[in-house]
Amino acid sequence: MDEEIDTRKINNSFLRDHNYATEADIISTVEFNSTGELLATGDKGGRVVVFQREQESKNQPHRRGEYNVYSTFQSHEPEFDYLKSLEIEEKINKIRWLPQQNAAYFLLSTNDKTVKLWKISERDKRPEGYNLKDEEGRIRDPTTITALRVPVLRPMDLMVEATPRRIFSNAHTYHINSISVNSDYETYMSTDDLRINLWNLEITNRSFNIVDIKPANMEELTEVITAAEFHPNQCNTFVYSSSKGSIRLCDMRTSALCDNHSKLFEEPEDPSNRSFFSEIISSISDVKFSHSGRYLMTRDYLTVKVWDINMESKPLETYQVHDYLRSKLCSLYENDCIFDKFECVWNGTDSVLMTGSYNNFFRMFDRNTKRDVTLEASRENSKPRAILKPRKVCVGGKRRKDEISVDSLDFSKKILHTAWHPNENIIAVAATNNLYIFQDKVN
Amino acid sequence: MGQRDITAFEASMKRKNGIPTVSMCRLDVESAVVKKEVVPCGGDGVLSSSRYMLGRGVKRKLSACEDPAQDLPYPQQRQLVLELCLDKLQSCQRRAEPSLHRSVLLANTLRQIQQEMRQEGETCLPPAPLGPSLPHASTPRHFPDLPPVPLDCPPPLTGALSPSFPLTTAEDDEVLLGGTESETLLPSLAGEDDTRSPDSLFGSFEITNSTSYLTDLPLDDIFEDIDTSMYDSSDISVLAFPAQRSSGVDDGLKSLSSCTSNNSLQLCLSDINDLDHIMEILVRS
Repeated sequence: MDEEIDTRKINNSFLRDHNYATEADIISTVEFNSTGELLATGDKGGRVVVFQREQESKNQPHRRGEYNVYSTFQSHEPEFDYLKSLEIEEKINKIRWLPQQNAAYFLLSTNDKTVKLWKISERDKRPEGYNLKDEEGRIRDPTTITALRVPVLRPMDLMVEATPRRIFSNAHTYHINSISVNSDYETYMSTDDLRINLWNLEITNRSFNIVDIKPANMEELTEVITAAEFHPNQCNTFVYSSSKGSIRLCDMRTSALCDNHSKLFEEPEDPSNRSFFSEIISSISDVKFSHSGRYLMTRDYLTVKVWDINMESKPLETYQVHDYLRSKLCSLYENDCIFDKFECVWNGTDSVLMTGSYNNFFRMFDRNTKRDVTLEASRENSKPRAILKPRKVCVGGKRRKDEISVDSLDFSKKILHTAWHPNENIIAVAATNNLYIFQDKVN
Repeated sequence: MGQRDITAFEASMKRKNGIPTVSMCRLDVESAVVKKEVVPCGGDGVLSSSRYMLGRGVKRKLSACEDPAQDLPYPQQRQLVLELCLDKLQSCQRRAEPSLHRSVLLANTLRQIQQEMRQEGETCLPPAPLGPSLPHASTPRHFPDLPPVPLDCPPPLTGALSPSFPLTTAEDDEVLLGGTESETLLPSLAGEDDTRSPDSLFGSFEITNSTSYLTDLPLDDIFEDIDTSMYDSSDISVLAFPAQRSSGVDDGLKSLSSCTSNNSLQLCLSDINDLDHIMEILVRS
């Protein structure tokens, strides 16, 4: 990869005392909006924090558009399911922005059970000079009013307010893992372990079930849905991935219930790599369409794969994220790391892929040059505006200086969520409860 | 209610310089390799001497094709994974936030292992009397009358489904909860117990399914306080047939004693029948 990365950190622990990390601060999702002006993060405590890129100013050209906190709100609260005696987590699983249609911004945020549509709007003017009310808002005595005046809008300090506009609830029996806004900007889908529902953004009391893989007898359940996404351009097409490593592409025009796929993307298993954990590591944790809509990217435990929509038999490209873990699968199974769900993202031109790993490492793969790089998101190793140094994991033999051996990797520091600006080379990386924003260096 | 607190199986986190790292699972390979190529199997004593592959670790894949030089025999590897599976499935149900995805993956792994063990039991011939130094594989659960599985029988790895697996899981729970010193697999009664807990594993994930309090509970929990010590097969094995234990088995790895004659198994079966009879009476009341 030719480009160096200029680093700039934004630590979102301004919400709490940042000397200790509380679990509620763990970031659970990161998403740029469609212009890249806004960046939203959701955390385990049900909060959403939105950052806005400041306008580039001529006075300080070297401070190219930093991201500052724009709005913070509590999206979801913990709930209690009385029938099952189970708590419903308030953790935000996914955030998806709606395309901007007026001055306000809209986003969908979801926890395990409920999707909410939030409106984020600015208020920088305030009406003053009411005729019938005094400045504190109390009604004036009508006998004291002798003149007529009309309130005037006067500027005030900018206030950003978030209001819930729609609440889409009671449609999911199982845990929601994905939401995806359709390119028609009227509908969206929400996906849980066994079902996918289609909603109209305006209607909250009704949704349509479009995929249902629940077997009649739950004992026969062997496969769950892990992620789903709408095609970026074709509003009738969507894909969903499964825990068995397959991706199904469905066309909503064929039937109301899309249980029969139009295409099935599946790679035959490599018999030489067979182990007890083969199925677990083949489970797909994320699926993303390319911006062009021509390709699909999937993430399973050890690899990232790029598929051509027109070729179902095998992926176009396979990239090893951390193959050195292949011999450690039993330990990772013991400590549950093998169940970690990593996400993956495309860059704006669909030429570079990015995904996370352990030890606060994240990886980028250039599809054209076939080069890859490992970078680290950590406070110790990066200062503001410093260039990120590529990292290397040494697999065996002699360990060179600056290399880190597999046994020294910190498996509690995992990067599951990353995001890439839609147009520029700006990336957001969530490392537990810290958010890192890196920009491409321009001379 | 009698819910016993089962601590989930946890890997020990070694601390090297204060950084929690992945502990060396018995099946994993030490990352420091001396040679990159796989050493051909030929009874190399160095490679098979230490279970933990210290020092001269050689990278090797866990493959279906048997490599006698591996430090753990395949059936023991499989047993370890089986136990981990069961532990995790149990802890899964006790969590505040059970994950269906996780449970399905664990269940599939478990099913695959059990299927394999069952097929081994079907296809392999009875072995010649084995020396006491070799560990015996367990008798497959659903075929209590088959002889022990020989170690050199190459296990075919298939992913075929077994519809009765939740049944097995419930019984595995029972075995693990018993906590006997020598881990034994009590033969199951496949026929009678089918209707005991139909949705025991996956049914609990649905919101509005809990119409019957009893069918939702894993029934084993209610009966934990029943003293099953008289049914410990360590005692039975002493009485009925010679216990064959492998020497040099690690404390962490639970050994399996084998049933060598049908008579002993009949003894086991009748005792289990009594226990189930008691449980049936309790449930009906």
